[in-house]
Amino acid sequence: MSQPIRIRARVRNGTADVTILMPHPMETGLRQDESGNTKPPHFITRVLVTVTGRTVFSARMSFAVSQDPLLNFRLSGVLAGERLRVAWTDNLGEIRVGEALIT
Amino acid sequence: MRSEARLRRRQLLLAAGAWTAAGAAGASQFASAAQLLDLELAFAARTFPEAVVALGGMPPVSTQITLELPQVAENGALVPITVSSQLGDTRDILILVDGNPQPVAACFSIPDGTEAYSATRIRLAQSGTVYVVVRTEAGLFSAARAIQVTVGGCG
Repeated sequence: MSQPIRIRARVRNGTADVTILMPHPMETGLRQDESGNTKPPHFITRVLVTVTGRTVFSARMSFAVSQDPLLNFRLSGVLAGERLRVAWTDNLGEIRVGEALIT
Repeated sequence: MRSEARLRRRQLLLAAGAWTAAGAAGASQFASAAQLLDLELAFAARTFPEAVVALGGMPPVSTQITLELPQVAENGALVPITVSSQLGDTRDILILVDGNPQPVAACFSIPDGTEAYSATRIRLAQSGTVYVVVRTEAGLFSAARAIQVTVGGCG
């Protein structure tokens, strides 16, 4: 199983700067392994970010997003101490959830 | 998997036909650009022209969109990209790459309270142009930048 989602969310001057790193191979389905077999595609397709239950950011992705996808965005109207939750799903139906407190 | 892809392709071609017919009937009479954006079709596209069809044509360029991208990428597997929009009511930000086997890289949805700003890292198979399409209440707008890739990042 992959490593946990890394989340940093800091409020400065009323705006929260959020950085999320999601460890994932993001395999394109175009690459070959050492023995020449094509590696099947395996990539995150959707990401949902919520703060205390309301959606603040969502993404659809293809395998054209780099390995270990990184997302950075900015939120207004959130407070330090609120909980930010990240959930992703991939093309194989795996789901991963991570949480962090906004500081 | 393969038949599904074929089905999607068929839907795309049907949509392309409908769009052409609408164009012939008078594009100005047709629904707003915002309604033409079909994400399913855009993500199913396997060539850049197919993706553009899913957008209902490449939207007009807006100087209110900022697209930050290196001019030269040594490693196409990891290219940083930052997009921001000063357009009012920005709802979605799409990133497209003309030289990729999967032209639509990502779509970010921006609810109220979230700034129309996002940064990520994408793969580029070869040198070409990166496009950003922003969907607002008023329709679709775009920005583009050329980039040189030393080593492609898809294969």
